Amino acid sequence: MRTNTLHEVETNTPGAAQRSAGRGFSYAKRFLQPVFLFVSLLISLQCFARGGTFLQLATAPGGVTITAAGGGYRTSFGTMNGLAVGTPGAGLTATDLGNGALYFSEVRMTVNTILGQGYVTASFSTPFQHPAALAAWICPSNSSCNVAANYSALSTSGGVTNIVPPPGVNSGTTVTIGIAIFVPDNDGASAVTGNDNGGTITFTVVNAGLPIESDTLKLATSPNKIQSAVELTLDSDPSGLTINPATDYSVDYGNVNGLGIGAGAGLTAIAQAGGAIYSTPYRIKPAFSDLRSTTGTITVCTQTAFAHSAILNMQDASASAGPFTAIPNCGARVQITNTASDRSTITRYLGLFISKVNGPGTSFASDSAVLTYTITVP
Amino acid sequence: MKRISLAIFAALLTMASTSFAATTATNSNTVAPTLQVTVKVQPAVSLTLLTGTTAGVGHCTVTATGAPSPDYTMDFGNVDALAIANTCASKFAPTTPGVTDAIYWTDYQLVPVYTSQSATGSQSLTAQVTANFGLGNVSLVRDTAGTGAVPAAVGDFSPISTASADPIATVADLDGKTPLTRFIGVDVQPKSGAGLNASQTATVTFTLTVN
Repeated sequence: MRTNTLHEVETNTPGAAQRSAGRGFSYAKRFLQPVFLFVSLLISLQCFARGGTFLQLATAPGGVTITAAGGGYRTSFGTMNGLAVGTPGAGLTATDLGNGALYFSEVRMTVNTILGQGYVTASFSTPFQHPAALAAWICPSNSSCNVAANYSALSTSGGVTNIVPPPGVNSGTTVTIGIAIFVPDNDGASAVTGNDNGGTITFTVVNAGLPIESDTLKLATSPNKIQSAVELTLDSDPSGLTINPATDYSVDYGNVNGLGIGAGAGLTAIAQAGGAIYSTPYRIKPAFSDLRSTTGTITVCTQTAFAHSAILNMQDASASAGPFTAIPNCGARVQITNTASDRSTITRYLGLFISKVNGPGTSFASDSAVLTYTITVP
Repeated sequence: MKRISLAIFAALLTMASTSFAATTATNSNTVAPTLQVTVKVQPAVSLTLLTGTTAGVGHCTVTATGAPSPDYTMDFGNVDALAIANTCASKFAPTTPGVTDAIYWTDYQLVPVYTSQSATGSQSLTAQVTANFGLGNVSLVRDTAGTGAVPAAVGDFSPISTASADPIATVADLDGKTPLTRFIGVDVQPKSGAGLNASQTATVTFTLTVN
């Protein structure tokens, strides 16, 4: 009671205006004090928070190894190429995107906050040694990071990407994000092979609108290696025979005869002097990366001739109706093109010539030959 | 022991730098995939008919229908037992008009071809009427000789059997020969009565057999 009396005496002494101002200051002080304290705390924590206080990275199950080192994190992508061929580094998945290869992995990220929810941004803070040959990509926590389609490039000009999007997650939440390196097809003057010491991604935790911690992930524990790669695949043409991808490829002409009678689906019989040619369209698809030339040469030869080589041989043409050129035994070759470009599709016609002959042994249940296609990029 | 370890290490390094599969290669500028081609060669036989080209003889057109049956058609047009009507065919007038038959006839060609036949010592080429005219006054005839010689008279023709296959070629090896010229005709009997002048169709089946 005494206190109340005294308070009334003290506050009643000044005039009405002074009394009102005094109450306003008192209310402001009462409400702003916690805010000042919180901001001060955030600033203090930002100044003194060590890496790993509000954000921790860890290896995801089956993913690439993440190690804490020097106040940040490191990982290694190892050897890569623009075609995603060969075995990727441990924990990595390699996918051919059609214009390069994406090597990616899921990563565990634990986020802590001071007040409520926090979100995380990512920026590419240190570029690769070879920025035209390697690019950092990420996958945000609200996507499935085990598929390449959910990855996108990090800005190389200082932009930030939300990797744990706002409003964020509660303190102590562990999410799965994805990190990746994209290796584009680079041929000719822009071809690069050799080591790269890796770039750095910086993750920043934002809480109550303020960044409270930044941590780095260097994409190279030891130098990553960019290697050249070349690929030559064969494929079916929709109107031709099926090219089966088996050791390495196979095609079955089925039943044929020297009169060109009854050509099966996908085949066109063309009368020839002394027999018939069964022709099928098919596709040759070259791809190459980090090689000095932008074009290659593709040839074909007969590695193993038919057992009945006096009756059967394989021929090549650029058009359905020919003219066809016999494919010689390896040692000699038929040149299909010397201007094969990366990721191109070449439609070609493969002809089976069968002689019109009679006599013992001129019909048989099965015979086969093996052709070898070779691409060389200078 | 140290030497063996070094050898293994060198081998591993070599393997690591070579290609992974035949369709792809790394640290290389060339790759050589293979394509295996499989085929089954079957014996085949072909017999085609063409319009005749014999000089001085009427040529009724042999038309390939493109359908499974009949394969070919030939139209003699309007014929009569007195050999008055003129058609695509040549004709032999009756020896005794009103008593003996008239024959409208044309040449045609047969092209026998075969391949991958293990034995070619015995072949046969035959003709048989497998669907006859519906009228009693017309029948199909062939050149009796079966040699390509141009018939000179009605007597050079004989009926094409409806019961069995008549040989129409006697050459030893038919394959690859130039087209064989043969003659086919319509024999018209001098009969009168109702229903003897309708449009009629008959079918001849030619058979090539290679043994």
